[in-house]
Amino acid sequence: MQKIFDWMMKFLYEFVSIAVGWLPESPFSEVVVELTPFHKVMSWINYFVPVGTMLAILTTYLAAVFAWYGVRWILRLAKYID
Amino acid sequence: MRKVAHYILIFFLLVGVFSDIAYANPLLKPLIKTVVKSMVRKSSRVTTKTALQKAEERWFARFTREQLEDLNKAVQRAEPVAGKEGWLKTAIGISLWITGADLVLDVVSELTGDGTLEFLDMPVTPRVSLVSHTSDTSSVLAPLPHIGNYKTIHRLPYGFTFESYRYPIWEGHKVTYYPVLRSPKGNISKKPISPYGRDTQVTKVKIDLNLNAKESSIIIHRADPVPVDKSHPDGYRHDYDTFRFPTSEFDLSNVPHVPRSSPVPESYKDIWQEPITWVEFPDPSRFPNPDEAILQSQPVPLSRPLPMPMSQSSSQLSPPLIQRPLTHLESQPIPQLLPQQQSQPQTRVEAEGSPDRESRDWSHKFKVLVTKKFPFSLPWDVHKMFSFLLAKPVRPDIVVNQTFMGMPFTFEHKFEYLDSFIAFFRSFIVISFCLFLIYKTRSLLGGAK
Repeated sequence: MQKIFDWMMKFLYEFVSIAVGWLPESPFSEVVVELTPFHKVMSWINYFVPVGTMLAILTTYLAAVFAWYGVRWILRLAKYID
Repeated sequence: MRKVAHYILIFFLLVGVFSDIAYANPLLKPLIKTVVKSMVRKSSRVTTKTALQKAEERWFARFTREQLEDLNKAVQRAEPVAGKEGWLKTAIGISLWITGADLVLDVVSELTGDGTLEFLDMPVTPRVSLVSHTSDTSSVLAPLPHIGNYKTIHRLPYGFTFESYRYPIWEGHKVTYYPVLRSPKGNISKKPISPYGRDTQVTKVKIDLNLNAKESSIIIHRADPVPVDKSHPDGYRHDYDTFRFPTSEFDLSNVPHVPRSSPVPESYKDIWQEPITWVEFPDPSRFPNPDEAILQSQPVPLSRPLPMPMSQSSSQLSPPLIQRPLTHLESQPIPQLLPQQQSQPQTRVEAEGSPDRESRDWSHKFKVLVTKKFPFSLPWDVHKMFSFLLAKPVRPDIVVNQTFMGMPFTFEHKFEYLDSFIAFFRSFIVISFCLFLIYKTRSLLGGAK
């Protein structure tokens, strides 16, 4: 069973590697390297303003907002609200 | 019906000749795989299943590399302006490659001589192990402009030269009579054979020169490296060509019967060291018993060699590899694997010992495969961008140590005194931000009606 699984995964991996091999490299990979000095400055900023914490809160908040929009759509569909 | 048979024949001809390109085609890949496995199984005598698997993997490693080269070629072909990248051009090249139209273009480009790859990209290590009826012969490789082309020139006794050439589709040989240090006198034979399908072959050239008779003969004996009939110890396919030529047409009076050895050209010495050992076929010293196992723990590669860059110094190649007699299985050099390829066997060995580990690694392998390729890399790119914003807070200490107009300008300021307050300040900002969001929620959601 294990061998069959590995064989299937190997086949899938080869297939995916060929398929993905045609695709170009990420254009942002070089940007990420160039932003390395910015990382140091961002550490200083984060010392005063907790950007990371605020982003985490904002992400959670936006997720909750989108969830609300979903629920609202369902409720409207059920004609529970206008 | 006959037409269909012709098409099928042409199809299999193309698949056979351009097997590496056809292997790139997802539809043809299983067929090629089956054929290759069958060939490996037939041509190798192995004692263990692992050795056979490794032999097969070497074939497929070669194919994978050739796939990449073919893809590069396809993309380059789709570029009207060399060196200029373009999505459309790349897409056209890839489409040609996927659909197999690349095969046709390859045939056309090779026939018309439009190949752009250089000679150095081809494996220039001699693929033929030669046997002559004298041991004092020498060979040189003549560079040809296209990949897959090569020509070996073998100096034979009595001033004869045997040229074995291989063009993209055709292969053949030519025997030319060169009086020593003179211009060629004439060609004895020229026989194109189509198409070539043998990567290695052993050639014996025997000259029966009879100066007293009107006619002499040259016998070219070629044998396949792969035995056709395993039941017979010498069950290899043989091919004899006999050429007779009038002796009187050649001035052989001043020809030394023992030819001079031509030195290996300087540019080939890194891959082809002297002296070249000429061997019998099959080499009795290396292959005394045809039934014995050839592939042991370190199987020799059965595939065609990987292109070996000319820049590699001779010290990188072990002398025994070059000088030892070549058997039908060892007539290929050991490929110089890329660093990435070199690491694969080790990983495989580790995985063999632990199947669970291999299973666990699949997610990692797929992740590595996807995270660097556009557009699948976008989520990871976004994550990287955000990771810059989420940098760990570090207290900014200002340290200036410069020289201004010859005067030292040193300034240092540390914010240590903020450490006790900054936590409160950050909490205040977070609370303010939360209050801002709460305040804005009503306008964002609009509230219930």
